[in-house]
Amino acid sequence: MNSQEYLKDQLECLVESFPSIRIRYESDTSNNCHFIDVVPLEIYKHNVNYQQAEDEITLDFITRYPTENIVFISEGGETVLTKVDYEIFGNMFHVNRITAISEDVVQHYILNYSNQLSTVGIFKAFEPVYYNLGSTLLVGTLPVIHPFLTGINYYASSFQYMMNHEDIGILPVTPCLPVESIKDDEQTVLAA
Amino acid sequence: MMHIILYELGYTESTLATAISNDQRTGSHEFYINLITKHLIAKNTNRDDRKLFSEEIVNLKRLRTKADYNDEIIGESQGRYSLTKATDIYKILRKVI
Repeated sequence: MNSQEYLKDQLECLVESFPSIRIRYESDTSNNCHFIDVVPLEIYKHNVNYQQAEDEITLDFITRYPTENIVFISEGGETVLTKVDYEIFGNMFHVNRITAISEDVVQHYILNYSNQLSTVGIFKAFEPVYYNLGSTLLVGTLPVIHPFLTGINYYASSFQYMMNHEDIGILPVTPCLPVESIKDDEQTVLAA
Repeated sequence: MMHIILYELGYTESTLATAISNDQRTGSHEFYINLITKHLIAKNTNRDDRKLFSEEIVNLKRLRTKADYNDEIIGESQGRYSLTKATDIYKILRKVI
């Protein structure tokens, strides 16, 4: 088994253990290096169990393949993947990204900021969509298109980041799953 | 890094040469980086420092590959960037080892 095959197996196990993460993998063969981009940042930075699993993979990998390097990265870092070899994500990945907003916060946003944001043109299109699942209010969006990144679809966490950075005015938008990559059955569940 | 490997980790030139030649693939630099990475994890070094080390050393390695093996011009900004990265790595290693 070569290092890429081995790593793919390990990363699939990692996603199974942490279903709310997404992993993008890129192999830099000219530098004998493997890059693994893990989101969300919250888990990468603060989940001790995840960090332990990451360390185990790292140690195991460099013991098996001592002349190849492995680097785990996440959002906000300096390294940006340019030729992603593959992407895997757990079945809780996008759901997790859109459940962290309470109804109060949503109402607060609607009342105070939606007009302002559309007026200044930070987003060409933004329309919150609510999925009421019992006591949990999921908040999604129609595709949110950042004017500087036209054509790239964002959803869900854009809204979350808006709330977190409402004072800034210009809002950092975190790329999430492209809307078209959400499976049909998952959309059905959300819309139910 | 070689100083750490030789004097902190207890390798000798010959044990290093043997270890690297036992692996059929090329990659002494990768091997050295991995030795340090293992050591940082074993010492339970602050995670942020470890992450910074592993990311920056690899980015520096990429630049070095570009400079030495690719037919590309390394401009002043990339030269300065390399120096900054090297200094950052040096500071991290000084701090944690």
